[in-house]
Amino acid sequence: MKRLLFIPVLVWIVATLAFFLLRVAPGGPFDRERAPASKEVEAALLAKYHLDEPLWRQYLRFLSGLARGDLGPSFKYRHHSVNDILAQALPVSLTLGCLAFGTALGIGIPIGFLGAVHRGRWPDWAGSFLVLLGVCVPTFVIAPLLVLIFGLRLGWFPVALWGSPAQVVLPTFALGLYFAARISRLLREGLSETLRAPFILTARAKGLGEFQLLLRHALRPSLLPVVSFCGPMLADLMTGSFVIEKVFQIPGTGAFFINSFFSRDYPLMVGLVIVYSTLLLVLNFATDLAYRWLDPRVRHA
Amino acid sequence: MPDAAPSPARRAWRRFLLNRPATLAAFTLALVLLATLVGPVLSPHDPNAGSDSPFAPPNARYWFGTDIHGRDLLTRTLVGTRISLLVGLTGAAVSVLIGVAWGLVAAYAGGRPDAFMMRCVDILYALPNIIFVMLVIVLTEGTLIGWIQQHAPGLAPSVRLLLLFACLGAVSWLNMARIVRGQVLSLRHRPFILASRILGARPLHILTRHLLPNVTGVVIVYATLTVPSVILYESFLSFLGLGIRPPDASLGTLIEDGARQLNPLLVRWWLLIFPAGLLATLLLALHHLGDGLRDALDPRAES
Repeated sequence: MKRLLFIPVLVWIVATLAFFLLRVAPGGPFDRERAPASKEVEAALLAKYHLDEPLWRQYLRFLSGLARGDLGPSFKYRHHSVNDILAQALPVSLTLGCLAFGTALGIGIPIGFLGAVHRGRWPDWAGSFLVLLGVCVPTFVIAPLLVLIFGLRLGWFPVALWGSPAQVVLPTFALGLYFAARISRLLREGLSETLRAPFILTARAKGLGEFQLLLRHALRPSLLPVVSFCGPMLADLMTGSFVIEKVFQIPGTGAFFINSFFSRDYPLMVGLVIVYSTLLLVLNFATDLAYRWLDPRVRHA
Repeated sequence: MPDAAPSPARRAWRRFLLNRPATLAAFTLALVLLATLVGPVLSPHDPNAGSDSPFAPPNARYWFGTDIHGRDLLTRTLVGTRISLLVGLTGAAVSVLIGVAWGLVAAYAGGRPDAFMMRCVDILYALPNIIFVMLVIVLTEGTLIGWIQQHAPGLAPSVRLLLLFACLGAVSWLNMARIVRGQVLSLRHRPFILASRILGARPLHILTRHLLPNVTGVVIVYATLTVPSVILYESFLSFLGLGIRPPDASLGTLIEDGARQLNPLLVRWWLLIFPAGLLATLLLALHHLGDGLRDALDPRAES
């Protein structure tokens, strides 16, 4: 519980770090407009966003906004506040991320399970091949390939945009594949190790059926490495993927991560950092809880 | 018994040799390494020079075909693999250096220093990776390039590459530090450490002579996993325009170029298959090498 109370402190430190490091970085939010704009215009812009104030006052301003839950205006998208942008983009990324998470578990767990149970035989080989494909081929190749095959050649799914259930399929799969591969590997290793443990031998010796043995005794401890991977994975998935959003033209948060940095959109960047770090820390905390539930040794330590 | 028992290192080596996939992986890696070193020298083509035959499919003159500018894909792939391997190995080396030192010191010091050091890791971990990398690049690029141009103008082009190594290492040391710390925590109160301390050994001696050798196995295995992830991360950075710049290429940028040529009408498969196949081979080999090393370095695996 102490760790739960620590999360806001860590988020505050991370946000502060991001706030100052971004401002120390060379370049400013209105650099690109310098050529056509006059000195007065630039000065007015800086004054409007309080960028002419000393850094510590900007920081205090930021903190007081944060306390009220207001992340400030976006410098790049002038008519929107950071809160607006996040309110629009975050649900999209959360939805896509959760679906991809489900897909990753849905594909990864059965493959890893079969791979460990039939270790060295054809289900293992077939699974390993899929895993290799998922891990080796970068997302920016998988995504256009999926579009090419299932979107253009076969015409089963729309190639881009966001909104209808059919449009969700390809990006979800493209995003989930890499994580499915990682999960299946973790489970395969974990389960193979569990199956060598003495308690499995005991259970077999007592005449327990293979089905019961695998699902009730072996699976639970083998899920531990998968569970500890799930925290950071979900945080990554739910904050959007730049590549997927670019390929499928999805209005999520992933693209803002990169773009807000390049355009030095300080408030938007810091807002995204806060969202990401909060998600990551909360999910890691949840992971630890799941760990305790799964592993009695951790619970009683 | 006239023969002394073989040393642990020798036994580990023997176990490694008995592991068929691992030795095959090591052999493949050596072969690829050799090809990337020798191949571009033997090749009649310049990796960055265009020719009059763009998009030639693989033939006797261009074994892997040519790309959009008529450049020989084989030479480009070999040079690209060299860059990718260099990036992966240096990135992993940087992460090993920082991560091992950090984890060792934190766990051995214990108490407040440990808590402080691990909170630092937590904080960096909670900062999105990509933002961390972009910040490091932007913050160091200007000063570094200025400094290099003053002192060694000839080196300026390779600065970006150096920067890339540093950044990739800087983002991947966090897990290494955690793993090493966990290992050291479990070793720290073992009797042999206590014995050494009672005999008057200094902390530095205990760290380097007793603790470091005991974490080597884990570190090596994790490092072999870091190399591929760094290679992949570089390809993502290059995709964003932060990594290798054209006309130079890494495996990642070659694959990306190949993917860009995908369209339903004309299938230029060679542009994607060759670099992707080589990357897959490398990753697979590194993976099996890591597995083999883990099994070989684990004394409990002795049969």
